[in-house]
Amino acid sequence: MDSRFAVNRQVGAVVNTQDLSENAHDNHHIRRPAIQMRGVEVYYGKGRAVHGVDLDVNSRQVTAFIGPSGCGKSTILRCMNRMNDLIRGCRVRGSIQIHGADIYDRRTDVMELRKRTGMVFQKPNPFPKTIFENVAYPLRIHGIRGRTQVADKVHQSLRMAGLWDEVKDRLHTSALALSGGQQQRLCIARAIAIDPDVLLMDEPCSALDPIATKTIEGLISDLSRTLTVVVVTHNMHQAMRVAHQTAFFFMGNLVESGPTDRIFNNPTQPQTLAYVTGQFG
Amino acid sequence: MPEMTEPFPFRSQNLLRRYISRAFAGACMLATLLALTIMFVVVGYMILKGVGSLNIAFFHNLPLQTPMGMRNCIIGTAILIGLAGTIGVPVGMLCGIYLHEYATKGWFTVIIRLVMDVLAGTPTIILGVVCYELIVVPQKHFSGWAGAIALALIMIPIVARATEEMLRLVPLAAREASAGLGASPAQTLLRVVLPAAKSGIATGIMLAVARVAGETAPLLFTALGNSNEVYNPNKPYPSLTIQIYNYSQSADPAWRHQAWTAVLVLVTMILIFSAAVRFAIRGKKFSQI
Ligand SMILES: Nc1ncnc2c1ncn2[C@@H]1O[C@H](COP(=O)(O)OP(=O)(O)OP(=O)(O)O)[C@@H](O)[C@H]1O
Ligand SMILES: [Mg+2]
Repeated sequence: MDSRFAVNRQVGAVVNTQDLSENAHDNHHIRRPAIQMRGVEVYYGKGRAVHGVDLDVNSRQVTAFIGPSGCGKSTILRCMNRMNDLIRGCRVRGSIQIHGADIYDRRTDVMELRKRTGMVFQKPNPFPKTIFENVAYPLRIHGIRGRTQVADKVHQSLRMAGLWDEVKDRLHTSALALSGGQQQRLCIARAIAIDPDVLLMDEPCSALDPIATKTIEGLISDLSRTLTVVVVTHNMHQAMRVAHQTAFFFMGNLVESGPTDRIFNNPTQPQTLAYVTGQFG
Repeated sequence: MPEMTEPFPFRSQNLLRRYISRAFAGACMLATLLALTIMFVVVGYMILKGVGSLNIAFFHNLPLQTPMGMRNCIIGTAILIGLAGTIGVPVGMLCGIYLHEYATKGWFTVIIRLVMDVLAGTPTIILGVVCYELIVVPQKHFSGWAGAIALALIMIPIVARATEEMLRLVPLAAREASAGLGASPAQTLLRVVLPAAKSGIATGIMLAVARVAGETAPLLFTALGNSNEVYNPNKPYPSLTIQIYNYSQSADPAWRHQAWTAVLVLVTMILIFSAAVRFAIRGKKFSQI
């Protein structure tokens, strides 16, 4: 991986923003877009945090959002399930379509949107309930009541999240007694329990040790076979390991996006190059 | 022994700082001791005075029977507080929930908060007079309902404030976790936020109950008191505090002893209630998420 960086440094000297800006967003790699963003701007009060983002997210692939702290990765991610609605004074302009439907349309039912667009947060946030009840919660709120149906789904989700073997004997004990990595996998199990089409993950491994991180990265790859994953990460190696596509944000702008390989080995934008080679950020 | 050629390096450079620190700790301890002493004196005096007339008859008989008792007042106080709580707790909680969850920054919210603050700070006798004017006078008779409403008015701001404060302590992460799974705002509130705030709100309710259990002035204008066994809230209503108030001014030492016993019973009732609430919510402290 380090040799790639070495090559990139040499390219950096001759990069010309003007000539190459055309290629910065090579969307032709996006065959089946699950999410399409056009001219998305986000304001917190009067301040604009995100400036006109156009981005397609491929279906059943992993897309990584990278960029320095404060560049708007979380903000963009939270637009995709309208989590920003919870923040007073936050406004979103432009259009975001998921599977062809504008999620900021008046007819959109936010609850339905969030049901189909799961989210995993940076800090594991299990409810102060039992392990079982944590995973059963989304099922119950969406009207699934049957005992065996709920139990089966909980079992299946915990298995998918790679947590089943560790917790099968303590399903009815507090989720808060789990380790950080286990809690995060529990949150993933909870998010996938209602079969979302899209999974949004905001730095899901930033509070975890390398081994727990590996487990979750494996999980992300597995999940991307059946659903669309967007993952925000500060760890560029992680992006290289798990992401098919990568989008680089800088100061509220989408600077460059494309196949992960190209973003890291052959970026067209000088900021991207500087960032992926560790010259800032 | 090695010889010390230089002064000890960790010698205190600032003795004054140390003395001030010790003096402060001492002052805190003294104040606590003082408060404890006063408490013991009050409780001890209460027990000393009250235990004399404490017998089965006190719980079994009515005020006009011999031996004297206060069965009707004990039950009356319990029902009065129950009625007040039935009105005051839901209204107070809903107000608190509204203020924290739904209120926007507007004139309406400003007015609600103002009214709550004014209500919380109003001497309770005034609430009694208001209820007298608005309920007792038009109805032309004192009643348990008027008393319960006066007490409910005292409870509402306490419960509302406690609810609002406790909801404020529930971290955004808990709401986001629920909302992110597609829960409606009401589901998030009922299944995640309120359970998380439960023990704090229960403590607030407990305080409100303990507070109104001892109220006398507003009841004098509304429930009036009753020496007979009457539990119909449309009638003048028996209450321990009113009975204490009446008996404690009596010239007859037997009646004054009855008042002390009533005090003892009332305080014990509040104590048992508080302990029961604490027991019910034990170990369910909200954990940080
Ligand atoms: N609730 C908020 N209110 C006001 N401004 C906000 C809010 N949340 C984020 N911002 C601002 O929006 C900008 C983007 O923030 P965002 O959290 O999206 O960055 P980020 O790329 O996720 O950073 P990090 O990598 O540190 O998580 C920042 O300048 C931040 O100050
Ligand atoms: Mg972030």
